[in-house]
Amino acid sequence: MARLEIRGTEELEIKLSKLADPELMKEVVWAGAQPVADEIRKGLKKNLQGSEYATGDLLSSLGIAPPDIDRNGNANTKIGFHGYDRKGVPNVIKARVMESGSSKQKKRPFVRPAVRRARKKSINEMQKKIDEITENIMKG
Amino acid sequence: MTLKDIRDMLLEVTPNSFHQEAWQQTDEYIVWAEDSEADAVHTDNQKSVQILDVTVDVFTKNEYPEIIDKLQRKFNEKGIPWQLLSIQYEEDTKYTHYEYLIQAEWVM
Repeated sequence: MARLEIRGTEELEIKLSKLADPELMKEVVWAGAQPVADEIRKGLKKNLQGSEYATGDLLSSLGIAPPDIDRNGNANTKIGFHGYDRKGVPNVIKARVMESGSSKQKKRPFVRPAVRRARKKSINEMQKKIDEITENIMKG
Repeated sequence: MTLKDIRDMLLEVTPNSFHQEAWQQTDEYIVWAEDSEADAVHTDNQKSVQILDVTVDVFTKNEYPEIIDKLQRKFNEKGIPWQLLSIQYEEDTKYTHYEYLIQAEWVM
């Protein structure tokens, strides 16, 4: 009876198991979040242009949370506004009113359009990071 | 559905419908505005179809507002893709703000 024996797969097995590390996905998510945050920043700057009330507090409060792994093993991050401005108003409220408007203020959406614009770039950046990580691990 | 169709549809929901801006008009009113391109189709090196994101904001001081039923029914009747983005209550003015995202076609 013919018999086939494959040897030397242990190294490949180790490399493949390294690829399954969910910690690596944090790097991928982080890479994908950058272009989205950049587009949001761009939109916000445009909204604030020429405003006599702009202090820069809202702009500087925009940030990306460190990626985390949820209970299902998926890597996630959040892009948002943290802290308060110099008058003690939560930056997230200011961003929300600018995005959605109110009965006293016209809306100037800058998050939703930015996310849409950055979608393709974000996916590409994540793919690039996956390729880079895979190449590094496979090279050993 | 074009922007003009959306204008007409919203005026059927309430005559207190405004394009781009309006502030505390009545106890209940709608403000709608187009804000960006959602999608497009190109043929023969030209943009042939352009889809716009349009937000429809309802401000109401009524509880369990009928205008919301009417508006959502209208979206469905007209076959418009719609999404309720947020509901916010303004403590200072007592308005409840319903924010919708719909799409319109820009005829080229």
